[in-house]
Amino acid sequence: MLKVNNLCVSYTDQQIVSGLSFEVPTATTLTITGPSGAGKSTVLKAICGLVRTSSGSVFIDNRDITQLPTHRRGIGLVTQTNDLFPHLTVAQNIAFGLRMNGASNREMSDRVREMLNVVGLANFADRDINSLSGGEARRIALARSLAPSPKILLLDEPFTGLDDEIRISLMYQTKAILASSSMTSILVTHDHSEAEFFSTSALSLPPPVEPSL
Amino acid sequence: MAERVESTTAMTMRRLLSVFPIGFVVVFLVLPFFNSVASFFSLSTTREVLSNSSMLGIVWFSLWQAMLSVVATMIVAFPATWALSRFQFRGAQLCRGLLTTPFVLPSIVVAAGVLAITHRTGVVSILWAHVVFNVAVVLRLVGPRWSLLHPKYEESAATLGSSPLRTFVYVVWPTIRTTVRSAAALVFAYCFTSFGVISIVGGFSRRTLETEIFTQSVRLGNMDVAISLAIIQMIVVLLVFQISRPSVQQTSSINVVATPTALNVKTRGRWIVLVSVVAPTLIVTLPLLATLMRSISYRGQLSLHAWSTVLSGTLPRLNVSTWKVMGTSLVFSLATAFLAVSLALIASQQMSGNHFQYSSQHRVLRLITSLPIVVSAATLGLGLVTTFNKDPFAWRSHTWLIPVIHAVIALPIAIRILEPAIQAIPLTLRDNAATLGATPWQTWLHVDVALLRPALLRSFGFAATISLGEFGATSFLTRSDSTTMTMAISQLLGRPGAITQQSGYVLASVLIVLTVGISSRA
Repeated sequence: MLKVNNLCVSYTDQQIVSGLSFEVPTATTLTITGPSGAGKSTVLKAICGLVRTSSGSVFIDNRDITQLPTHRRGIGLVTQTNDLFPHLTVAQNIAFGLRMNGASNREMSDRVREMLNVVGLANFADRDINSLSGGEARRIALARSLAPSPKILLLDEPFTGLDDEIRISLMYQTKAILASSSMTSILVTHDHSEAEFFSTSALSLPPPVEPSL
Repeated sequence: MAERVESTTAMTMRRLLSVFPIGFVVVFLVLPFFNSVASFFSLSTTREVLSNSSMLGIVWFSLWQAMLSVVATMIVAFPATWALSRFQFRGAQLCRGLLTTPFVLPSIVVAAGVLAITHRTGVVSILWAHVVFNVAVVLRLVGPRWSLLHPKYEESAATLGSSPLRTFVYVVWPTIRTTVRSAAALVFAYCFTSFGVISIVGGFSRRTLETEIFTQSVRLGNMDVAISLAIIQMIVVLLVFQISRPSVQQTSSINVVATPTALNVKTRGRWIVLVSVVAPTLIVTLPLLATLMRSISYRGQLSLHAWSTVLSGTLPRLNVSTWKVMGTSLVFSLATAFLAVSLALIASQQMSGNHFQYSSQHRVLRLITSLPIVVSAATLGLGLVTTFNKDPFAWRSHTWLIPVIHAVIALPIAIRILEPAIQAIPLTLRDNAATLGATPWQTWLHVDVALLRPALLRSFGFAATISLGEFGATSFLTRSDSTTMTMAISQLLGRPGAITQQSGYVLASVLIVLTVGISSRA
């Protein structure tokens, strides 16, 4: 279970997230919605340690991880920009997390094959990532995040920027993957249909407070 | 920018890393310089220097030869820069390559090439050698800026009745003047502090501040005079950089488009374009060709005697073999490249890090690592011989000090190659690596270093060629067992005997091939 307690984040004196608390039970998906600038992505970054919190705590299974560096949290992240490593092939991208954790070549190749099958791109192992379409790249990013078996998966608007057909197909695929792996996840989206489709529970962030003149 | 959560060990390590480049420059440049100032500077000597007509003559000659070199460089480089920035034609790429290559060549080789043509020392030879070097500076700095000025603005001016000259003055010049000024300042600094060129083609009567610092300190032992000259020289260089510093308004990019545009060459103007490129290319490449020619001609006839002598391992009148000299230079260049690139990588990474930006530590790191640009080679050499000559720091005669000093000189250039490449790596790639379980060290190794490979190779090549060609600071430190190729060339060319001098040209030709080989692969 993921628990966020009284989370506050500020950038250069500006409060982005203020006193946010919520819980995400194991194997469920929380969707976070809200207008631009509400701090949706910042909440995800704070949970995985990519930004330092000004106060508050993050717990996984009752263990306080607030001060743990990102690489030791076991939290996966998929964003709308994919951020695949340009110098690596599709297989090497998917194997990256396993390699960092000291997996053997055999383990890596088995897991890469499994992940490629899960996202429906079985023959893409040796492809250059620059040759992928937007939808394919997003699937590979999802496979890469899932490969090291994270405890929690954070999805930051993962369906944005895709055309409708691919978007809907990827939504179904992602939901099936999350269900089959009993993954705890948080989905940030500005699209209410996506939120309804995924949601076990939902959280709506208020609009940002305008700085007083 | 928000900080990432990191362990205390990682944070401490990151902060401690910046100590290496700062400490390196402080120990091998800042401390030696201030130590030489503290030990030998006196106001009365400086006053004497400034009232001595011979010294004032040296200051005056240093100034006017540098200014004339800037003018000559601009006259040669400007038409070529215009033509290569504005037009696309067959051979343009080759000409660009030929014009920019001499920048990485050792000054002493270029000077030897000029001497091979003019056969005489003096101002003309000095100016020619400086032009050969510095055309690349103008082309590299001004060219990209000129390419960005969309021709539609010039066309609009023409349709409004503006002559080509007025169009240049009112449309083109305002856009490129900042970079022209920066290029002129850089060329001035290079020519004002030029050592190898003046040593080879200056002759006995032509002395500059840079060569006089060497003469006064190493040959005459007048350290107080040398340090006064070094301070005068540094003040002039700093003043020139200060005057040429662009203001915010001047760097405005209004009227500038994002991609270079090529114009179609009209038949009528084709000759102007070709002459604008071919003439500078000849001026720049002739000395290099002359070096190769002199290496195979003996008293007007084709002779490979010097080549066979040098390649058999003998350097006439020198007590050191060809292979020893080449080995020394190559080992120094590899050690320099390794050291300079490692430190540059640390410094660039620190300066590009979001944790570090705009902090005072960042400003100190940038300032300290830029210092080797404003301190001339002779000033650096002077500081070294006065500082590292007493126990427990009597390192002056230690061979390892030479590649270390070459690394100090190469550091700012290596940083300037690596820093933009590091900044071009999206932060999100590092974030993703961390979420996939990569430690900061693994992220650096598997993401940063992997993506930086081309820039690392380039900076490695640049640092290696800087070491191969370094002459000024090396002159202060070299011993017979650590003679480098540039030192050997200088000694061979400076001694009588046709075969001795021809051997100097052979070694210079080998150095051209080595330098071009390394820089073209990097």
